[in-house]
Amino acid sequence: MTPDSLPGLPGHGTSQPSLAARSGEHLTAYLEGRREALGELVELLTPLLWQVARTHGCSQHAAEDAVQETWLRLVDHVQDIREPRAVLGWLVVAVKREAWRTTRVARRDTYDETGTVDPGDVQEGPEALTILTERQRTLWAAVGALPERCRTLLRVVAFVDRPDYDQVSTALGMPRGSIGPTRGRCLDKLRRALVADPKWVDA
Amino acid sequence: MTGTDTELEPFDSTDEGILRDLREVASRLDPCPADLTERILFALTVQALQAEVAELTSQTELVSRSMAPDPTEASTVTFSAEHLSIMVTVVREDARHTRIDGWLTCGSAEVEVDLSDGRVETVLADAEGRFVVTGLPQGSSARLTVRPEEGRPVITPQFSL
Repeated sequence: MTPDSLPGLPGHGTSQPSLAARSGEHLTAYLEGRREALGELVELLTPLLWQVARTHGCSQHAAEDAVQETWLRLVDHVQDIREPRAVLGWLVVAVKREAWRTTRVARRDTYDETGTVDPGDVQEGPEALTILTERQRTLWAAVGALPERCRTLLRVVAFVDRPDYDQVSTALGMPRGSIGPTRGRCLDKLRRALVADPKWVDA
Repeated sequence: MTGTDTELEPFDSTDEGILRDLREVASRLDPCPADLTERILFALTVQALQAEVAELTSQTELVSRSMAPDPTEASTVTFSAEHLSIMVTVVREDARHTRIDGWLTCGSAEVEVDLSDGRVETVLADAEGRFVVTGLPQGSSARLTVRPEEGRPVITPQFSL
């Protein structure tokens, strides 16, 4: 097994094992009895799982619950995961299902408008906007204008590495090849919208 | 709704750059709460130990900082679980250290002090349930895991030292 503690060199992202590969190494270590490895896996993947919950209609509070519940469930079902690097997809599917379950309940009471039904509306306060450059504001608005499935795919895929795209899009219920090795429909739509926008400056 | 030619082009460095920017914007506008991983780790520990989480029942400042510059300032925190109660007095030792004087209603038990910096101290409470832990970093926080001779372990929420 390759050591997972070697950090990728800045600017050489491809030399680092992908997120799925690193996750698999942590899971293997945990199954071999190194208990702290589970904590490292939690630290590594929770920011991604947060995006999954938020793009599936969870309020902030519901997203916290969905992500936490998923980790507890992983420990109970860890033996079901035959291939350690598949843990990434397993977790994405589990958060998605948990998010659907909780939002179905929540919709009956209140519906969170700050969720990602329109990500352009997340924290539109002056504070949130001043921390963004015009380029970033343009990007966020363009993402907000995409169909929901594309919005979800791109926002989640942005948090993983390229070799993981297939595993993650499949987990999100999108066909293989929705993104990578070709650009794919969603990213193409976004890119064409950006190019057409005079406020978008190609960095 | 047929596809465009450009969607079949290979994923290039511009695409990579767009996703990198998207990650940054999403992390800023909709960040994962900073303490979420810590709470998940706590929940996982509770589950792994099949432990009971004690409830904070009271918290008293015996001598408040503003009333007296007395170095003996102390505070008392009590927790309760189904079969045991825990009382902890946090006493200042010197400028940088605090001591905890604890008492468990269950008598003898192993007490683990988990400090927020990752350090772990383990002591045994005597037959009367008394235990003392000294030299703890002042201003940090801790939680206790109590393993009674019988029954489930009990974990307290964090309290400050």
